[in-house]
Amino acid sequence: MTEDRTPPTAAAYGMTPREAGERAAAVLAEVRTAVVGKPRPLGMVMLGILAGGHVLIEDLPGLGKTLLARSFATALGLDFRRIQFTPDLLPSDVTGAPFYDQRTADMVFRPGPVFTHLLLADEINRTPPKTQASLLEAMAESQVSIDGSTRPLPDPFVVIATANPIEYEGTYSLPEAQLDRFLLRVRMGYLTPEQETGMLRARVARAAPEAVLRTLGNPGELMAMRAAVEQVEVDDDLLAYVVALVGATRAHQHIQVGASPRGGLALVQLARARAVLDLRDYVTPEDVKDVAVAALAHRVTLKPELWVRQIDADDVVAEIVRSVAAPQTLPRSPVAS
Amino acid sequence: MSAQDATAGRGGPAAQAADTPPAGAAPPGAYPPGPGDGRSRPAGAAAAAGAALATLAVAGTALAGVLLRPSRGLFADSAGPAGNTAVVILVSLGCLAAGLAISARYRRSLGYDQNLPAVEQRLADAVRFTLIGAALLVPLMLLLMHRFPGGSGTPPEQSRRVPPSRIPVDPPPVHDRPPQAPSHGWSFHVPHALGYLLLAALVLAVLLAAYHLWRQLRRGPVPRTAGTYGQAPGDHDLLADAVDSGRRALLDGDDPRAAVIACYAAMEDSLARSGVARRASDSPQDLLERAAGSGLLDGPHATDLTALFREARYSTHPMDTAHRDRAAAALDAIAAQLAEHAARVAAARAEQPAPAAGGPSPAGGDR
Repeated sequence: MTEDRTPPTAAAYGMTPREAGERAAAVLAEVRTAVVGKPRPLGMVMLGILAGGHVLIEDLPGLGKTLLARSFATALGLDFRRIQFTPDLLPSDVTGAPFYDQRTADMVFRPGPVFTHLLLADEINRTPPKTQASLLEAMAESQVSIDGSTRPLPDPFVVIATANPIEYEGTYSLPEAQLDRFLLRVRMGYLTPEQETGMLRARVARAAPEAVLRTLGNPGELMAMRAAVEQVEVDDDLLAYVVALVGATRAHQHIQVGASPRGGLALVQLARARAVLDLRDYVTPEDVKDVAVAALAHRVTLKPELWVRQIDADDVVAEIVRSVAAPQTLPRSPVAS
Repeated sequence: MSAQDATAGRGGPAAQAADTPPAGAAPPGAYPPGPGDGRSRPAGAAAAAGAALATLAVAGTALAGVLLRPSRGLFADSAGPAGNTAVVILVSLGCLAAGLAISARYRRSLGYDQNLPAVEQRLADAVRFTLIGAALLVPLMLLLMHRFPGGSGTPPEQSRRVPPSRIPVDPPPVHDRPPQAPSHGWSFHVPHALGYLLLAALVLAVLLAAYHLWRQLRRGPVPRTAGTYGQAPGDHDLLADAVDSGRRALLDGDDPRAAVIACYAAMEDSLARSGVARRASDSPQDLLERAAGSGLLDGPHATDLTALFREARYSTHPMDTAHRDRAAAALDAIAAQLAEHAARVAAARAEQPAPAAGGPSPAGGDR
């Protein structure tokens, strides 16, 4: 069932982590020309793409979420589709459906928008759970099963979903099990007044609604960058640190349900991607600490009473990161050169 | 020289600190839990003084509460637990014993051969005299203010007669019996003015003790940091020790990786002795930022050594003597920086001979 999948061309590029990091930095720099003043969210989305996961961008409307996704698709040279999720959207509108071809008198499968490299699932919480589930299954398995046949999705397949965190009429917030499918959650946040002025100035200066970005890569290159992430080594003490962080979410007084083992996997992959972006081929505690909130906060369920106290999962995970002991200076087992 | 010196001075009587403290003595925090544990030491003589004052104030207030019987008015002539002569005598004796014990213990624990700063010395002297005075005065006043039934000139029948008549008809008996009425015999009545003075003194003591405690609690972490810098002459030795340990690691082993890690550990040790200790959750970058934030380290050496350490500790890259030499050079530069900083701090302290105990600490960032 996977024989017709596009073979990864990563080997053809044979990238080292440093080279992958340099490419990723170039892509980020290109995206920054379109998305002004958001270095941190941009970097986190880049980490998610490098680590081979899907990204959930959660913030208010009008903060540049769609622009961000489209800019990444352009700069990375990926095929880009967008689904605007609405309450009446059907699963077949996402995955595609077979239809009857009168000329051949046969059922022909018409692929849905999910058959792309980079899919922007805009306002994913506006559609009912059934349609959400069809997308989330595609995200988890990288394949779509329709009418008994399984169709693999292109490689790479990245979903950047946006969600509005404010409860509006007619929204269906994602359940925890589905949130778990996202490698990380990013918040955009508002620009500073200076950045906002700069953004307006740039808009006036270019006399066009959006900046035109250069394409700096292609799907094969992205696969090579992902393969380079797999070369990044992780020390045993750091793995223990990751386990301690994930374990701490399960024992924390404010958390009802802690992070899943998938959270630990996500944390390790994101830390490796961050090491690549920092032109290293080994993970350090800084990498783990830096991505911990983005990787774990959406995977924990806070106790209901905290809603009243306006405590956010981000705050709780950040507190956990501050309290869990990082690896000691001296290694537990003697190291040899 | 500082609070910590005073604490260290009490390390001598550390053995007595293990004694069972007398009942009602100062709280456990006022005594050193044991030598060698710098972190768990109390804030010093000032803390002991504060605790002693607080104890005194609380005990005095409690006694006053028992004695004054507020439900009967300030100088009502009977009833209350203190109306029983045996109780009063017992309480007085207990007060005398406890007061003397606390006073003696305080003096022993303070160790008067130490040179305390002027403020603390005055405070300690005040507490010492107050403790001795209180040990004698409180029982004495208890006895004086008590009306002994047997020896009193007040006819017993009068005191027996008064309560039944007072309960139903309250106002007239009060007018019948002026407070100073029984003036014969050796019954001694403290004038109202003295009573109020005593009350005022108690209130003042409580307020003082509360203020002192509040100050102690507020500046909790400061004396520890100040103590670190208080040993300015020794700092150089400590830093030198840490750097030497790093150098020894460089010379002893053949493994450059272990040597680089040892160099970084030496830097960490030096920073800790300079007031910026690594917290358990700190990554190397966190420590670096805190050290830079407190003004201890700047420049490329610490960054370079940290990067080398990360590579040595978390990667399997081959490390050679070039790495080791870079680490050694960075460690030397860092040691020079730390020593220079310690010297600057010592010079600054020398220019300001007696800084206020609650003043700002040079390593204020290490909270």
